[in-house]
Amino acid sequence: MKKLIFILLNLLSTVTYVQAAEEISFRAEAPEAVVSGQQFQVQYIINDRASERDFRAPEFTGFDVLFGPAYMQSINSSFGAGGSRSEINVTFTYTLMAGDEGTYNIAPATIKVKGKQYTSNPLVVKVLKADKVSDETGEAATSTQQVGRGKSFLVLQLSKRKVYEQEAIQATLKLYFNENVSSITSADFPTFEGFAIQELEQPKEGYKPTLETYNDRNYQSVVLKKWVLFPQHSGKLEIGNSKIGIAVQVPRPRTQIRSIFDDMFESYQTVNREVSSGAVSVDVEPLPFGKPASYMNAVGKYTISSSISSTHVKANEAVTVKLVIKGTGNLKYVKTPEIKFPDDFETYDPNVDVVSVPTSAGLQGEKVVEYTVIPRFGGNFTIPGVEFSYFDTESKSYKTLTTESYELTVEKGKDDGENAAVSNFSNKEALKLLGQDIRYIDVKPMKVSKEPHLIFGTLGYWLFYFIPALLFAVFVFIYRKQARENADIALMRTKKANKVATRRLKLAGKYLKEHQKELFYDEVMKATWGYLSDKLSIPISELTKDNVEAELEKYGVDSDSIRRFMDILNTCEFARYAPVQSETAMDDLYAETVKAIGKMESTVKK
Amino acid sequence: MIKRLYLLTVLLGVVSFAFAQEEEIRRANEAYSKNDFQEAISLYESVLKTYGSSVGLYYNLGNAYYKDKQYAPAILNYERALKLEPNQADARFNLDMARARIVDKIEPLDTFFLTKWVDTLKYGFSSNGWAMVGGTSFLLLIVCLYLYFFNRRVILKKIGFLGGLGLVVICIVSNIFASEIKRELLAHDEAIVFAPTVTIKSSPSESGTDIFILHEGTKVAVKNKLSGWAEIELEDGNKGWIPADKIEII
Repeated sequence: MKKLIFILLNLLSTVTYVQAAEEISFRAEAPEAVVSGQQFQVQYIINDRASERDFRAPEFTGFDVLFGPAYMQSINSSFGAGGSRSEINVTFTYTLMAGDEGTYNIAPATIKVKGKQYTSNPLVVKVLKADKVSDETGEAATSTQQVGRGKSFLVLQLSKRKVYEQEAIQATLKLYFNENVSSITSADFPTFEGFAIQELEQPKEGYKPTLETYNDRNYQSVVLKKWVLFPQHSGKLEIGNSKIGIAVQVPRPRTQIRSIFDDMFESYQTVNREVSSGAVSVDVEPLPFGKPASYMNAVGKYTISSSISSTHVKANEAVTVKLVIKGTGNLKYVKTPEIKFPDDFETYDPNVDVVSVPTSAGLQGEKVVEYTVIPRFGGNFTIPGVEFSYFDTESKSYKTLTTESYELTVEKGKDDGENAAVSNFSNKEALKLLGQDIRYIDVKPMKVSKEPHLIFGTLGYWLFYFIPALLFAVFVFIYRKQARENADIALMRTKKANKVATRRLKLAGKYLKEHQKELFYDEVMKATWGYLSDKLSIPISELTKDNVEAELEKYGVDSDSIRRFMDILNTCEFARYAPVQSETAMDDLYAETVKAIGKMESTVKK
Repeated sequence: MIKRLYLLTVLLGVVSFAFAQEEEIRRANEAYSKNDFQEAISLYESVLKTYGSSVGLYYNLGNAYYKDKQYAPAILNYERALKLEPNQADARFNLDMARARIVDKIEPLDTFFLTKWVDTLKYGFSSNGWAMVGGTSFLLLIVCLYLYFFNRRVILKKIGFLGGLGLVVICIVSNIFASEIKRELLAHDEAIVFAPTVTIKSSPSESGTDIFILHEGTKVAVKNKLSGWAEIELEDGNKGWIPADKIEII
C-alpha cells in the first residue's frame, strides 16, 4: 500500500516536472523590516522537487537562528479543460530573531535540482529599534487617536516641499498603525487644487504593510495611494485634508461581571474611527526669467530626436516627419513643437501620442509627434529643425535642444499642376477652355531676325513725315495767292451774303409763317428796295424801277441777277393787288429773294 | 572675275543661311506634327538661338511647350509673340488656354471702362502697324489740306477740312500707340514665374515676412531689381520680392 502511494506520488511529480521544467524559480522571502528582538521567518521557496541535502543556506549574520531549516513540500493539482496541472512547492523555513538595530544583508541561498544549481535572491532586512515603554505612555496622552494601547494616523508625504512650477512632486498617502486595523471603511482623498495630478498605479498584489519607524516608534505602515503632482502656478499651494475611516478591533473593556468565558478569551470589539492627515502646503517658485522662445512648457529632463520618412519624393506623395520627445517630467503637459513647413505644403494636424508611466520623478515616457505633409509642387525645399527648450530641474536652468533640418527634393508629379488647375476652376469660361485644344502651329514660312524690326522712331520714319510736309509747304508757298483767293471768295463771301439776306428778310419770313399775304409782299418789296439802296448807295427816294437796272449794271452785277431783282419787284407789286396768291408762290418768292441777295453779296465789286 | 566670284559666294552664303533656317523650322514643324514635342522644342529653341526670333517662331515654340505640358514656358513664349504682335489672335487664344491650366488665377484690378476700350484699340495692331497707320493718315492729311486750300468747290473744301481734322487725330493717336507698344516691347519689365512654387517676401531677403505664394506660369510685372531679388507686382496689385532666378523675363 505504501509503495503504491509512493508510485502514485512519483507519477504525479513526473507529470509536474515535465510541465514545469521550463521555469524553475528559487526565491527568498523575508519581511522588509523587523523590530529588534522580534522573531521572524525567512523562507526559501522552490517550485520543484528538491531534497534537503542539496540546500545550502547562507550565513545569517546579525540574527540568531532559532529554528530551521524546516522542510515542507506541497503539491497542488488541478484538472481542467486543458488537462491536468500540478504545482509542487518546496519551502525551507528559518525562524530568526533580530538583534541590534541596523540594516542587514542576507546572502542568497543555493540549491541543486536535477544536477543544476539555482541561486535565490539576496535579502535586505531592516532592524528597527524596539519601542520604549515609557515613551509609549507619554505619547498616548497627547494623541487623540489613541484608544487603549494602539494608535493609527494618516500622513501625506511629499517628496519635495519647495519646487518650481510644473516640477513633479510625489505625494504618498500612508496609514500608520500599531493596533489591529481590520478594514478601511471610507476614504476621502484630498483635492489637489492648483495641481495637475496623475495617480500612480497600485502594484497588482496591493501594498503590503511594512514595519516602519515614525517619530521613534515602530508602526505598521501601508500606502493607500500615490500621486504625481505638477503645480500649475507659483505661490504657496495647499493640499487639503484627507480623511479615512477605519475599523479597529480593540479589546473589550473588562466588565464587572466576569465569566469564565471572558477569562479564557480576550474578547474584542470593533470601533470605527476616522483619521485625517491635515493640510500640507507646498512652496511653488515661478520658473526663472529668460524663458527661451522655444520653451515648450516642459519641466524635467528631456531628449528630442526626429526622423523623416523620405527626403526624395514625388509631388503629391505624403512625407512624414516624426519627433520623439523622451524624458521624465510633466511630459503630458509639454506643448507640441511646431515644424515650419514650406508654405505651399499641404499640412495636417500632427498625430500626437503620449506614452508615459507615472514615477516618483514625474511622468516617464515619450511623446511622439507625427507630422504628415503633402508637397503639391516640385522643387527643393528645406524642412527646418525644431527647437525644443525645457527647464532642467537638476541644473535649474533652461536647456535648448535642436533637431536636424532636412533637405527635401520633390520631383514633379506626372499630372503636377493639372489636378490643381482643375480644382481651381472658378468660372465657366475657364472650364469651357479646358475642353478645347490649342490652335495649330503657324506653318507659313517666317522671317526670323535677331532684333525685332521696329519702324517707329527710325530716321526713315521721321523722314516719311518730314518730306511730304516739306513738299506740301513749298507747294502752298508757290500757289499761296490762289489759295488765299480761294479761301476768301468762295467760302467767306457766300457765308456773309447769306447772312445779310436772312437779316433783311427776317420780318418777311415772320409774315410768311403767319400767312399775312399783304404784309408779306409789302415787306419783301421794302426789304429789296432797302437792300439795293444800301448796296448802291442811292437813297430810296431816288430809286425807281427804271434807274435801278442801269445802276446795277454800273455796279457790275451780271444780267442774270439784275433780271432776278426786277422779277422780284414786279411780282411783289403785282401780288399786292392780285386777289389770291397760293402759299407756294410766297415760298418761292422768299427763296428767290434770299438767293438774289446772296448772289449780289458774293459778287465782287468792279 | 575674283570680285564676281566673291559676290557669288556671299550671295550663296545668304541664300544657304536663309535656307538652313527654313529647313530647321520645317523640321521642327514636322516633329510637332508627329507629336514629338520635345524634339520640336529643341529645334525651335536652336533656331531662336542661332537665327533670332519671330512672332511665328515664339508662337510655335509656345505650342510645343503647351503640348509637352510645360505651361510656364508656353506662356512665356506666347507672351513674347504677343509683345511683337499684339493682334496675333491665335497666340492670344492659346495663351488663354495655357493660363487656364496653371495654378494661380489672378483677377486683374478693375480698370476704367475707357481704359479697357483704349487698350483693346491699342493692341489691335503691332507697333509697326500703328506706325503704318500713322504714316498713311499723314499722307491723306496732306491730300485733305490740298483739297481745302486749292479747291473752289465747297463740298470738296468741306471734305478736306473735316477729313483733315480727323486724320490729325488718327495720326497723333497712331504715333502714340506705336511708340508705347515699342517701349513695352523693349522695356522687358514683365516676367513669368518659373519655379513650381515660390514664396513672395516682403523684403529682398530670405528672412523677410512671407506675403503670398506664387506658382509657375504666373505673369508678374518687374518693378525693381536688387542683388538677386526682384520686386514684382501682380495684376491684382499685390507686391513683393522674389528671388530673381525664379522668374523669366518676357
